[in-house]
Order: sequence, then C-alpha cells, then structure tokens
Amino acid sequence: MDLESTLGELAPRLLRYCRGRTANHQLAEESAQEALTALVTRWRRHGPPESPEAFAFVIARRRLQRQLWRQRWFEPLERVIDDRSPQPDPESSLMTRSNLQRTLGALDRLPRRLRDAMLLVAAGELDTESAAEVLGISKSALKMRVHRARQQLGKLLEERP
Amino acid sequence: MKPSSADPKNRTDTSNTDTLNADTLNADTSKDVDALLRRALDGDSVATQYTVERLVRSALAAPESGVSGAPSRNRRRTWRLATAALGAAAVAALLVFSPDYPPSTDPAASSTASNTPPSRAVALEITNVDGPVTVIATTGSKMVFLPPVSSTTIPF
Repeated sequence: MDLESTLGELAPRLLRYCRGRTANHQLAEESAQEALTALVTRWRRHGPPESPEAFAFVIARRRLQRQLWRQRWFEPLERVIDDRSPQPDPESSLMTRSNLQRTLGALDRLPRRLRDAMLLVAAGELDTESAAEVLGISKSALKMRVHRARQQLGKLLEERP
Repeated sequence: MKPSSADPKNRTDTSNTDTLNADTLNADTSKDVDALLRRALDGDSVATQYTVERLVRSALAAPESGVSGAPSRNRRRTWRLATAALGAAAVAALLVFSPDYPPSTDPAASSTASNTPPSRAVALEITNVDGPVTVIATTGSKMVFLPPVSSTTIPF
C-alpha cells in the first residue's frame, strides 16, 4: 500500500463526499484537505492505519460537522460584522443554476442519518464495513439506511424542479 | 453513426447539466441513483481533477510536525486552554463581584473580621440586656445576641 496512490484514490471520493455534505466548495475542499493531511501525518509517524479510507472519512466528517455548526451559528454574525454582500459570488450563482444545487437540495431533504450513510457509500464509495465504522453503527443498520436513502433520493430526483 | 447523448462516454462536462434531468427520470435503481449523485457532485471533471491533484500535492507537502500535522491534538489543547481560561475568568468574576471582595480597607469593617477594636472605633457598652440587640451605627447595622446580664463592648 503506497501513500501517494492511496491519496490519489481517496482524494476525489473525499472531495465528493464533502461536497455532498456542504454546498460550500471552499469548505468542502478545506475539509478534504485536512483529512488527507492528517492521514499523511499518521502514515509517516505510525505507519498506515488499518483502514486509511475510514480514517480519512472520519476526520473529514468530524471537520465538516464542526464547520457546519460554526457556519450555522456564526455566519449571520460575521455577515453583520463584515458587512458582506448577501449576493452570491459568480461561482455560487452558477452552482445554483446547475444540477449540483438540485441534487444537494434533494439530499438536504433526506433525514440527516440517511443522508450521511448515502453520501459515504454512494459519493465516498466506502464499502459497508468502513462506512459503518465511520458512522459508528452496525453493518445491517448501515445497509438499511442506505436502502431507505436511495429510495427516497430516487423519488426526490424524479420530481420536476 | 451519430453518437448518442445518452451514452455516458459521449457526455461532456458542459452537457452534464442538460443530461441530468433526463437521467433522473430513469433513476429507478440504486446504481442509477448512486451514479447520478456522483456525477452531480463531481461537476466539472477538469476542475475537479485539478482540485484533486492540488489536494494530494498539498497533503504530501505537509510538514512532518506542526500545526497541520496534528490538527485534532492541537484543537484539543486549544480547547483545554480555552476552558481553563474561561474557568479562571469565572472564578475571578465571582471574587470581584462578591460583596466581601476585595477586603475593605475601612478600619471599621476590618475590625469586625479581626475582632480587634480599630483605633478610631466607638465602643458601645450595653448592660443588663437579655435578647438580640440591634446596634445601628454610621457604618451600617449589626445584630448581636448578648448573654443575659452581661456587659460587653461591641467594636464596629
């Protein structure tokens, strides 16, 4: 198992997962970056973890949760302090028109537990065991969540915008 | 033969947006849903590839030790420091705003605590009293209980 090839294989999956968790591209990239950096550090200091992908996804998930929590509570305050324009930047505007936004909207309508399981398995391409480890649940529970999430997401995506 | 737009090989990044709506109508299997999700989240594949390469390069260039090397440990330490600082601030606030802090430099008040008559204190002598007595002085009031038939001097 080679560090560089592992990173190359993990990075797009992590990035996709992080994008699914947040519509903020910058935040998604930062979280993926931090997870990869932590994996590199761990690898160099103590050797590869038992499951590098589970290791990286756990860190990315934790980091995202923290950032989303902070965003939810502090963004209105920061906006007032910084007097930032509420108008989205051109990139965000493009995203709004794109299907990414629509998909994210459908994802957002899923219950949080189902969404997280779905993103780990579908976007992060984790196997059942690793995804269950990341979420701290049993494999059967994870399968059930993913099954329900797929059903609900399929219905939501079929709806006309 | 004209290439079919439904063939994933023929999709370009710019057509991603257009083809997705049609695809969503056929998203009746789990694999379709997963593929739709992945394609939507990947977005522009060229930009995503560039981002991925940048992420890998940055991660590999991370220092052996330092802040970026151990984020969770540093965060835990920061959290502990912040908690300690908050606790210290709370204790200081309690001390400062408590009515008995800081110790009064007023000789009358200090004499109460030390039970030593201050130099400028006025001594009051009460005799033959049975029960609580309220002594009102300029510095405030003080309730004392005197033993029956006694004589005592109350410093204040």
